[in-house]
Amino acid sequence: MSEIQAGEVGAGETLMSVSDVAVHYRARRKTARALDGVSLDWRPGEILGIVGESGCGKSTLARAMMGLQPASEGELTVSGGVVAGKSEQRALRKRVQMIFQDPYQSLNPRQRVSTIVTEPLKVQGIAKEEHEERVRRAMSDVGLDPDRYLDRYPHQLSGGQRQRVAIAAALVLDPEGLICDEPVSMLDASVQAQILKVLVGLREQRGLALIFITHDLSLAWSLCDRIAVMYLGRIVEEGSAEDVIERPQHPYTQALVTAIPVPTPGGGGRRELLEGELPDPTAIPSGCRFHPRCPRRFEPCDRVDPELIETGGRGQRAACLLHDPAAVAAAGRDGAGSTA
Amino acid sequence: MSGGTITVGGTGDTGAGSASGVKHLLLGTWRGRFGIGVLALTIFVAIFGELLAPYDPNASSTDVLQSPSWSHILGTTENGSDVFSQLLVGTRVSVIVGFAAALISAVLGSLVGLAGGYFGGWTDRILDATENWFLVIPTLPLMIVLARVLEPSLTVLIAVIGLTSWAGTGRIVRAQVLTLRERAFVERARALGAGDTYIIRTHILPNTLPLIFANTVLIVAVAILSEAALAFLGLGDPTQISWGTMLENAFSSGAPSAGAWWYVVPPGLCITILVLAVSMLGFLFEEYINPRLREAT
Amino acid sequence: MSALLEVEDLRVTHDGKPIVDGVDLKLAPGEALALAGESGCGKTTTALALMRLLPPTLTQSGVITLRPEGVEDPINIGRRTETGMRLVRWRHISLVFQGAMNSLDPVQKVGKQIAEAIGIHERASSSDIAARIDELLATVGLTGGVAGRYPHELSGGQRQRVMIALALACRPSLVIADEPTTALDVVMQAQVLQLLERLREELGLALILISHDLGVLAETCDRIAVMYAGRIVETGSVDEVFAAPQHPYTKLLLDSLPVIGGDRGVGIAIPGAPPDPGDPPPGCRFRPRCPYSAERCDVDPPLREVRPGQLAACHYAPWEKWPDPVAAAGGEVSR
Repeated sequence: MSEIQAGEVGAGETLMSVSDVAVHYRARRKTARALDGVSLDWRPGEILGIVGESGCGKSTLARAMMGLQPASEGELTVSGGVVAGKSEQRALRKRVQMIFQDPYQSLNPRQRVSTIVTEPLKVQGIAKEEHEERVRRAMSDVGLDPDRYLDRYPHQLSGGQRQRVAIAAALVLDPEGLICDEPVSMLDASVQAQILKVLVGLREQRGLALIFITHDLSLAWSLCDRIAVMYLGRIVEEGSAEDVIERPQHPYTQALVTAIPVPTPGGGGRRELLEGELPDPTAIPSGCRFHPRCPRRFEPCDRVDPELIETGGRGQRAACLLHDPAAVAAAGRDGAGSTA
Repeated sequence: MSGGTITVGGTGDTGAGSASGVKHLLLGTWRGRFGIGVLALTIFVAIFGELLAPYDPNASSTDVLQSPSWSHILGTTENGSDVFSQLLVGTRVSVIVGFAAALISAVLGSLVGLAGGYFGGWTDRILDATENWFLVIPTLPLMIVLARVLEPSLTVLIAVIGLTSWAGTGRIVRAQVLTLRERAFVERARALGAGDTYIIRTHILPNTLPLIFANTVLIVAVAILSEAALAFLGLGDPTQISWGTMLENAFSSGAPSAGAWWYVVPPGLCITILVLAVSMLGFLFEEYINPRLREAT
Repeated sequence: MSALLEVEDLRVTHDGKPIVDGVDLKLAPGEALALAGESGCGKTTTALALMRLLPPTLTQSGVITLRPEGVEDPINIGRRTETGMRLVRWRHISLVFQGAMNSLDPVQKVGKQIAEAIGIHERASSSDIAARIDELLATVGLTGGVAGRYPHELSGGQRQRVMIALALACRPSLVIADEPTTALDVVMQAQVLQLLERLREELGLALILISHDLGVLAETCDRIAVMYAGRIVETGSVDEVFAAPQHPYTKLLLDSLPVIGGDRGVGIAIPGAPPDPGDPPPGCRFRPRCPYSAERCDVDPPLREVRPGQLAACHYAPWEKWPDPVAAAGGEVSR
């Protein structure tokens, strides 16, 4: 369905990029590194998936991109311009909007749909004459009849309808990008596809770029152009959706893909599962942060913190020493990425 | 979440806010009807008390401590004044002090709770410490000290009661704001680029108001009781008749030991009934905004 | 072989309005039954009704018969008194419910909580109980040291394992697991599912697994019952139902799931939202959302055998070939 390959979507230019962004908290005399040096490009019109387990930092990254979470290090650029001050942040919010996971929490229960959807226009100081038309258009774009729904309160809507209202409220500002933090994980299976259709439709009609944060790898695979896999505050693998999910190069991604339940009987079979659980972000392991759980770790993994290394030549990159010929050669082991 | 089909209570968002619901609450339950009835009657008397009073409440006569009769339906005081007239006229002070002090307490408590809960950090720590201080110290002795130091007058009485009763409201508002601040719709507004004033005004305050209101109604009851207590201790405004000063005069003139129940019981009963009525309304509102309490009854 | 559990015409009502509207189930010893459906379809209510754990505002009727091994007379759950039920709960049927990992008592050590569950049903010496706790924890893949810890010292996955150990404490013959993995991440979810599968093999447990995630159910269960608006609309072996669904709802649910390696893109969307079982639409309950509906759907279809061993509540079943649902629905998602 999405014919557009990574790389082809506005190659070269970016809608937004983060470079070396870190978010550190002080918690009980320890520092939690929720986000620990993440660089990522989001291209115009692209659907970018960010996947990982809870606590991997994917939501923190989204919040940092929206300026809701001040970054301890690193910078955020929008179309080449660095976002530093308040005025740039305000401008950014006109261009990039966000929707949240829980449609029951993200709408003010005391406001009517019309107030909720008009709010962004008011906050951003858009001329009053434009309000009604923009609100009606946004409502139609998400498949809600404005005449029927504008006067309702959130508790009169189903979960799917609430999420549509949240999307409409993000759309009224005509953003170029929409960050969606687990937009369907609280919805029923039969309703999920409705919301996904709306989101993908917006990309097709308006050229809206999407960031799709999810823990559901099959969903990310089916929707996204590109996927970044996060583990403990870092991106450990990125590339086109097909490459990353169908041909994962990082042992962590491989483990995630193996763990996906398959809706075909017996499809899962007996499989090797990852041992242990996500370590505490206040005590990130030395070297490669995945090494204590990694089934394929070898000698240098507890010392060397791997960079993202190009694998396969189609823009797929993995932060794993198995793809570093020098490290593999030095350890005298035949790694997956051995070339020599 | 899926799977859960059993709904016990609600989310707290769904029930609140409809006008018909409030109407049913006030007129459809016996507690509501009692509360509203008593309150309406009290306010009416507070406004028109002087016109309704058969005698000048301050006029003295030689008919001292007379038991109830056709000419004085609630008897007379130690100065020969009409008890019923005093009771009618005295309503005004109780009502004014009750509502004005509760208003001060509500405004103060809300401001402190909003600021502390919303901004957090040092603001919160200082405000929270102040709040705890006011919660922990016994209120009545503090009121007595303050009222003694200051010149007794109606304004002083209102100020003293208002200043000593806001901490509970502050605490409740702060807790509510703390949860609201983390709600996704506040986050969403922030993602839109909305400022703090805007967020407080459009998202935090409207979702806190019902709580403030219910709590304030309860404080009205406390304030009425406090006024009576202070007046009874001789710390009320000596120039004004109130139910509290009536009780004080009755006791200082030895009416109870003289068997003059008609001088003691009516103001005492009025205070009790009004406080009961207002408290009932307060509890009703509280249950209304908190469905979990509604389920429990 | 006689069934371990037999449920006939189970109904649960709230103020006279049905939540579960006539459910029949049969479960053989050691069998795993999947109960699938969306939120509000009645699957959790069904599970609670099987253990008579519904809140007092709900009324249940119907015959529930349990025939555990080693017990001579079948247990008639519907007729038991509350005291009688206490002997059945945990001893014969136990429950791992949704969000269970947060239901451990935070101020008691894990071992003590397990000991309590055993102590209620059996008289055993403290050394016996200690040995049982170690054995139980080992069964669910935890070290004995966990017994001495408080719940907050454990991770989500570990707590979920403790809850499973608790459910196994009295060696029941049936465990009902209600969304046991919903709050867990993929890796932990897979670990817990593998554990459940192993326990079934080793202990001969029968399992009712409730989930909205068809992937989870397909991997773990033998048979499946799909619920919609308080009723079972399709049931059969997992293999058959997934390979050839006979109710449009099952078919569309399966089509809405992305399957890696298949077609990319958004799956089929079912228009609208599930109805309230207390106020179902007339005729077939799925009719308003069904792209295949036709005139016979005015009449409420009974659940009947449409292929050997496979039952579906659809007038037009068996479906030899499904028409293209997008074309059938008129090409667009309504509402």
